[in-house]
Amino acid sequence: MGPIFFRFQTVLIFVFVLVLQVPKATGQNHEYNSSTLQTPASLDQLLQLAQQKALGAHPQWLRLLHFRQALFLVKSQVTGKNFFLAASGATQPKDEMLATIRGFFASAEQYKDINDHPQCIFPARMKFINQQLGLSAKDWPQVNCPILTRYKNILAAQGVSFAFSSYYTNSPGSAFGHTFFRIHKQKSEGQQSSELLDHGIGYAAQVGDVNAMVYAISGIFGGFRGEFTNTPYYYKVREYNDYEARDIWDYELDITTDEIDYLTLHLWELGNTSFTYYFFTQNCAYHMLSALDASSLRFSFIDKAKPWMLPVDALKLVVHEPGLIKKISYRPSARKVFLKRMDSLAMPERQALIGFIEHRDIDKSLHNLPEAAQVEVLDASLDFVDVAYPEQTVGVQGVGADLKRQLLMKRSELNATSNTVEVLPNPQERPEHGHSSGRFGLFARQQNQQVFGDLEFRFALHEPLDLAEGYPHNSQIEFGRFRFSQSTIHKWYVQQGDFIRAETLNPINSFEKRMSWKMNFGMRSIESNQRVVALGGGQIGFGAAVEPKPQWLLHSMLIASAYSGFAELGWSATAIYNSYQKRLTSALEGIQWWPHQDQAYTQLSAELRFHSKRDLSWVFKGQKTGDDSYTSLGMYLFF
Amino acid sequence: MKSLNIILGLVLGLVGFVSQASAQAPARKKAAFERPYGMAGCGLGSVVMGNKRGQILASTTNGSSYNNVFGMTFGTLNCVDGPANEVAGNVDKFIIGNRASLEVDMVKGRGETLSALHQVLNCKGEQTQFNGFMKQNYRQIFAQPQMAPNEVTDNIMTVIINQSELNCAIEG
Repeated sequence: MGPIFFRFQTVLIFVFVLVLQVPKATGQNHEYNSSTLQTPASLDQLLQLAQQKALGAHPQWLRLLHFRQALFLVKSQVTGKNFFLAASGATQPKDEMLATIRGFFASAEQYKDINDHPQCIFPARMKFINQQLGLSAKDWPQVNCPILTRYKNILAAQGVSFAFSSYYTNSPGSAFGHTFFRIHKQKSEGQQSSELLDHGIGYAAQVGDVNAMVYAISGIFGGFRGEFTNTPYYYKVREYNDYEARDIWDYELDITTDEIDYLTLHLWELGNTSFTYYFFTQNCAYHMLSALDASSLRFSFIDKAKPWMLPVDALKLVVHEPGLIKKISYRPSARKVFLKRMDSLAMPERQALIGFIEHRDIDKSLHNLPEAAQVEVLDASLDFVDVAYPEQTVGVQGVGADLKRQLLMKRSELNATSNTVEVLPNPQERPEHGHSSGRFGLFARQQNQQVFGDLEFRFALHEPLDLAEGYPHNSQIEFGRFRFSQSTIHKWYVQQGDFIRAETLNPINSFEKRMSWKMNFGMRSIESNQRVVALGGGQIGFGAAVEPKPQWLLHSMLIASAYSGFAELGWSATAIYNSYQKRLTSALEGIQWWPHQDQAYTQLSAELRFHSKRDLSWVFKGQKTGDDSYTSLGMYLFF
Repeated sequence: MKSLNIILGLVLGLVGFVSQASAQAPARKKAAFERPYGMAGCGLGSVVMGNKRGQILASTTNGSSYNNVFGMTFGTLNCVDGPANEVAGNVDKFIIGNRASLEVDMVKGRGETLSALHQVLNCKGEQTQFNGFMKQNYRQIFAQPQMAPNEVTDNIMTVIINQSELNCAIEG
């Protein structure tokens, strides 16, 4: 190279700067394209080229910056300030484009930690600009990014799955399930691939130590920050399969190497910043889709989404994209593995296992059993302890850990290798096959020799009488359920409105004796003295359930109910029948109520539903409350 | 290679240092196999996202107590200075997240977690042979009820170290 080159470059810059002054006077436009750029290009040349190509308004650029319509203006959904290099970056994508190019040219000396250099923070933007302008690494100042390089090496991404962990009613934040990415790691030579060593990347609210009220209100109304985090995949397996006894459904995406590259680099960009988290709209599922949209223009998931987003809604959008799902796989929960193992035991071994579950004395259970049988009993007992004492799987000491150690020691003395237990996914449980998450209802009700109309609306999600496919058959998870009724007094009024209705029925069996519970809170209206009176309050109930056959769920609960000024205690007995594939569900319920300021009365109800389509149910219901009774015929439409 | 290890060590050390700033450091034992960590702590070694420093555990479900349980129990790894035995460092991290499942797989003589350990140790020998060997040595490895992860790692590496048929690249 040498002095001639530099002199030439200086002259060129001088001429370039001169030339820039001309167009305003003469109206001439000078076309620059990448073939007229020298290597490396100068900052001004790239800025000019980016402006000419209107890169700052390119659809993929807008997606990389997460620009969306929000009420009256278009701005980025990213709230972290460090995501923007321009002061106006959050509202002006063109400014952000120019600031990004300038930032990539920043000298390394400015940064105490080179990993803070824009080239190290925005690799997806770099990739986009390079692709659009026909550039490569040699066109930019050379910057080493150690932590980014380490991230890429550790991920060694060669594939991506969209993962869904199943509904978990023990925690409100998990009641709708959860979604995250599994980044498949490239196999090293001679090795089997191991999912455990892949990486899980997902978005969630950063919740501190808050009480339930703050948790609910902040979660719904944007009081929490949401961030992307990345961990070895085994953490996901331990948390969902082992600790929370949840299944993980894994949907491998058929995406190109380029798209995988964009996705992993963009997740890196997002990992450095944060959003405002909204439980019903901009949640884990929403941002998985916004990340996919940013990776490729052939996706437009956010545009296709409903105004609110449940994890299963996001899953369905991805699954229904033609040709996008390569393969579906399934990780059963520890509980399912245990149940399968228990089922596969021969009678003597099963008796020994049940004995162990009752008296927890392994020596007693293994007594007089041949070695092969002892192996089976120990294997099943180990699985049982993991399900009954999940905390010891994460290292908490105590009864569970001691029992586990005892079993491990005993098993280590026996030479035989264990049999594997394979749990095949139950087609009835495939989450993407579930009915849609919202529900409308239309009914004709016959009461007091008159016919009235009832309209129902439910925002989300499921109750045991809905079609079971894709949902837990023993849980009610409902948000925003309202009924509008006609009456003789009022034309239409809100007869019932619940913010939350939840119920979990845990059938008692040989290895589990858990309580069943229910709760709801919202409002009811009563007709009193020719007026309709709205009452706020709720109910809470505890009891027990049994499942004598897979189709029958019976439960009984003690219920406490309180609505402004009206408190009552109830005792319920309920039978639920679910024919599964035959698409029939029905329930029979009797509740004896003792109001605190009135006579005791009985409420009897019977309901029958026929689910002619996945998203259409025909309903017959009859109810008698004290002396008052009605029957009702109608339909539910899911959307 | 050596300078790369030092850089890696410094980077991981910085990550660990900031992340452990608020955590209590128990008395440090000298591990049999040197780790590529820096002075003050090693943390869980979760991969750093962006330029955020510190421990990044899966805050996967809102308000799940899972991470708190993990954090409380395992706390700091006992870390030492020194040049790398990167494999030992990787096994430490693996043990933290997989111990319970690994113990079960080991006594059963097979399993996904045991297979993953085979990879983490960079073993090129047969999986079934590895499984059988680990099963035989379960009591040597998990010798006491409450062990720090690096103690488990040290035991694993000690039993493997001269087993040429397993073909794991473990140096002392």
